[in-house]
Amino acid sequence: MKPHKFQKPVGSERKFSKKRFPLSLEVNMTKDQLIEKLRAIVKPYIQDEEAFSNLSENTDFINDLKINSANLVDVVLDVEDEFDIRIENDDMENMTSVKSAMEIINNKLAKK
Amino acid sequence: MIGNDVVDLSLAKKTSNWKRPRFRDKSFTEGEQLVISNSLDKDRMVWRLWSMKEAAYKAYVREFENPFFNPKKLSCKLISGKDGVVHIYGNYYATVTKTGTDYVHTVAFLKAPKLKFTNRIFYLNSDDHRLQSKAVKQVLTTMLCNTYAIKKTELFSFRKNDFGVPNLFFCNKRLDKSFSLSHHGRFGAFAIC
Repeated sequence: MKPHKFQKPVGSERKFSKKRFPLSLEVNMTKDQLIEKLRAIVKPYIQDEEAFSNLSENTDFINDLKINSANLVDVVLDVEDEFDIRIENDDMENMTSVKSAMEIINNKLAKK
Repeated sequence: MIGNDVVDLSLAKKTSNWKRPRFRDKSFTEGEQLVISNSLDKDRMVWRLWSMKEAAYKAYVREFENPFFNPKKLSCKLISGKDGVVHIYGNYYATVTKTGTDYVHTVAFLKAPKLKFTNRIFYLNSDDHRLQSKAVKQVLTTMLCNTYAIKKTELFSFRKNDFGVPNLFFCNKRLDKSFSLSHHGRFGAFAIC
């Protein structure tokens, strides 16, 4: 018998089982959503409006946005609060761009 | 190698809250946290330590071209009211801090016999980041023009390398000068040797 066209193909229910995709990844944000969240976090600390309006994955917090080093600690703390994660100093060491911040956040969320 | 950093204390009060949870843990070693909690003027101590770290870090990056962000790895020791030492990955930088009523300024350098450096702290008119940066360079080139009897400050130019470290050029030729620029709030500063 031909399967009904809305019937799920056999085995499809296993494809998204929790074993293969932990919950945190299933509800993972899109890249754009994550960039938007970061944009809102860094906004109070930026000193270069032009770089901020062109914010992308490749934006550097210090060299482009001119965020001062003390405020970079605030950025890290705000990220921790926003995503309910903890970032150790060793992870923080490279967290100086939008791209590296995204990587660290995604890693931490995946481990949650 | 030299680095410097100025902190405008009233701007720091407005834009940074070092008392927020976890800020001190992320930024200061246990020893430094002890120094802060035992000091009479905690605000000033926080920014003195911060300017020591920042100044030493600038000297470190100029030499090793290895930028990183981990303020706890820049570990400070105070020797006197103005002198200190910052330890960064096996390197020790001597620091001299000057505090005014509304600023803290530190120069950090690798200890060397006969090392002579010049530094200045001055007021800035603008609060725009770009104009401030331009103004600090202008003060430095004006000083160099006076020292070497050069008529035009325009003969000097600045270019940052890939690590964000500025280099000084005269008639487009790179000068072998170690220097450091800083500005924060109403204050501009530089150190050069």
